[in-house]
Formats: sequence, structure tokens, C-alpha cells
Amino acid sequence: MSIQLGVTIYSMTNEWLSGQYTLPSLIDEVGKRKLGPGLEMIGFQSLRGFPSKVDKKDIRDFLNAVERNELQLTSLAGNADIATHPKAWMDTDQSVEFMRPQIELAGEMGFPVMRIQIGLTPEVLEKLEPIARKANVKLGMEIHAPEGPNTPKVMATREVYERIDSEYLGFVPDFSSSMRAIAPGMIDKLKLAGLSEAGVASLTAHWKSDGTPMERYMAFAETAKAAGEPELPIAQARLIFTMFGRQKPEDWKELLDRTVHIHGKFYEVNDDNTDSPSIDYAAILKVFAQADREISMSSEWEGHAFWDADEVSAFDMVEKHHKMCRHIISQY
Amino acid sequence: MTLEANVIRDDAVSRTSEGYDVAVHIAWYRSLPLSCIENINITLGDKSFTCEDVKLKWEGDLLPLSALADRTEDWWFVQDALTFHVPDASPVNAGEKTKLAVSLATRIPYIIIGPNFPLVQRTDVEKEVTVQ
Repeated sequence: MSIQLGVTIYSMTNEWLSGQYTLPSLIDEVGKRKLGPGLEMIGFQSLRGFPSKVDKKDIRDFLNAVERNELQLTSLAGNADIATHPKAWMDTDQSVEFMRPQIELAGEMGFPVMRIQIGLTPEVLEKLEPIARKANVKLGMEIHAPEGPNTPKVMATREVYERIDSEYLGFVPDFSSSMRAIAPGMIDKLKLAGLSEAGVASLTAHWKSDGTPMERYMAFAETAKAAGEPELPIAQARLIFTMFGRQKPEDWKELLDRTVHIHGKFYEVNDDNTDSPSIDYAAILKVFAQADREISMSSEWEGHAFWDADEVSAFDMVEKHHKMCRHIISQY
Repeated sequence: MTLEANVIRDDAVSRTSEGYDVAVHIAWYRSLPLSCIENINITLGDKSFTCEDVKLKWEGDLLPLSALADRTEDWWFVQDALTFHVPDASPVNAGEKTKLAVSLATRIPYIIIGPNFPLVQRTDVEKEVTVQ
């Protein structure tokens, strides 16, 4: 087995939003810093007009940048925007038609995998399989917090995958599902917004408690309101319950056979590039090291949820992450 | 910090003959359709404007916020600012400084956090800006 390192340029969200890079110049920086070879991006982030109205020149310029930097396309991340309309959510056929052009564009551009999302029901997946097969694009349902390998929605997907049994239907495990602590940067952000030390302790206790993410958040919010904590950090804390999951690392084993790509989610790396405080990489990579084939993994830095580009460079963070992963993998 | 830091920039406010134009960047990492804008409140100096006062300038039209729900095919690209028109009979002059506060609520259409309950991301930002 081996894990092929790479990056999703979602990691560079701050740099991208600030407008300091075009898509080709961002790819050039990834190449210069040797953050490949794998390259992933989010269609709705990186391509104007995605998926049906993307300028052909933009696609050509992107693919030329990929080629000159000797990068390999790994995954185009799609989105299942089922609640685009506030009152009329997408039904099965509307969801299929929303996903179709995304999958077809992934195929045209040469991405072997499209990341898909949990909002897609078994009925939708069944109808997407022939579209993916025709486009020669494997669909990888991202298993991301608050879901995990064994949560009800994922179990429903696993069942339909077993029934259809197609190589075009797989999973993209995202390590946000299996975290051992709330990312320290997020705690700092809530403190800056006015959450007290007692509020942080309460938040941590509720994050570690039993129940659905919504139940745990509501319980925290009620306690925090009663304690007089400010409204803003209470509202912002909702993200913690959706972004950071608590599944066991070893549970990923159940998805190993159908894993088509991995999101190496991370928020921080220690000073000597051997560990990540909020995510137990040694335990998690050990599971994926058992695969009988090479699997691509994008380093996915999400610290931009609480750090600015002038505080932390996403390029530096991904470089550190690669060093950490190489160190850990070399131990197996 | 972060996505919030992106929302209003130093040149966000421009004086017009009928008030102000306020340039607002998206408080999310990817593009969203206009239909996902649930609410916006804008404060300039000591005057506050709700979603009933504020209108979106879009392709030559002035759209009330209540008209956005059906705009599922019109996209707010992640690197672009949207321009919101704020009516004010006595706006401060160009070149003067004023406090700008924006409270933005966007529905995240693929993050469903409860039965029929999507995540609505609320972002509050405030900055002293020079009116253009």
C-alpha cells in the first residue's frame, strides 16, 4: 500500500478570497512549493460559472498550469445543494440534474474522482451511477463531521453501495469525523468573541457529551445563555458541533475497500512536524496503511476558519502537514 | 478574522445621489446562489438599515431582499463583491470616515444540521471606512 500525498487548494481559501492569486498562479505556487503531486479543488470555489457556464479558456489555463507543474488531478469536489431554495428543497430528479453537469465536467477535465456529499439519498445515488460510469468518474461520498462511518445516513449509503456494487460509487473519508479535541484555534476565536473560560469548559464538556450535534449544541447554548455568555460566540459555537466529529479512528476500516480518495483534514501541526493536536494522525493513517492499493490523500488545512492569511500561510501549513504525514507513514 | 475579514474592505462604501452603495464579499469559502441570502442588516454611522430598506444591485436592477428566494440560478461568485444599495437622504460626504457594520445571514444549502434544518451562517463585521 501507499498513500499518495497532495493538496486541495481549498486549503488556500484565505489566499484565494483575497484575490491575490488567479487559478493558474495559485497552481504555480503549489507546484513551486512541491505540495503535490495530487491536486484537488472545489468546483464552486475555484471555477467561475461552475459547472455549466465555465469559460473554456479558464479550463485550458488551469489544465496547462497543472501540466507545467507536473501535478496529477485527484478529485473535483462537487456540492449537493439540496436546500438552494429556502422553501422548495430539491427532490430526487432535481438533485440528479444538479449533480449531472458537475460529474460530466469532472470527466471532461480529467478528474478521476468527484467528491459528492451526504445530502444525496440512495435514490439519487442509484440514478447517478450510470452518469458517473459514462463520464468515467468515481463518485466519492465525503464522510465529514458531523457524520462518521457508522452514522445512520452513512449506513444507508453503505447499504445502497453494497446493493449496486459499482466501482463508480465510493467514499472520501474526511478526518474531521474522527477528532480527539476541538481545534485550539477555534477556541481562541470564541474567546476573542467574548466567551469566558467557564464558557470554554462548558463548550468542551458538551462537545464530548452524548447526543446528536444539534442536541449537544442546544444544550450548550442554553447553559451559556443562562450563564450570561455573549450572544455572538454562542451563535458561532454551532459550527464546532458540525465541523468536529468524534468517531473512533479505527471505524474508518469499515470503509477502506470503497475509499476512492482521502481528505487529510487538519488544523495545526506541532513544531517538530510529528503530530497534530486535535486529530490523531498516527491512529488514523495506520488504518489506511492497510489498504492493498495506492490511495490519494489531499492535505486539507481548514485553519482558515479562524486564521487570516497574514497570520498563517496555508502553503506553509500544507508543507508541514506533508512532513508530518511522511514521518508517520515511515513508521509503519 | 478569517472569512469575516473578507466581508468588508476599506473601500466598501460609496456615496450615491440617493444614499450609499456598500460592497459586501461572501462570508463563505465558495460561491452560493443569491437565493441563499437570508438576511442582511447594514449600519452606517448611527443609522441602521434592515433587509426591508436594503436592495441588491444586480445586473442593472434593484432587487428587494424578499425577491431573492427564487434566484437559484444567479450566483454570487466567491471572489466578487455584491453591491447593496442603502437609501439615505443625507449621506456623509466622500472622503469622510464612517463606521460600517454588516450582519449577514447565508443559508448553506448542503449542510443540513437537523430534520429540514439547514445551517444558516451568521456573520457580524464592523469596520471604520472612508466613504468613496
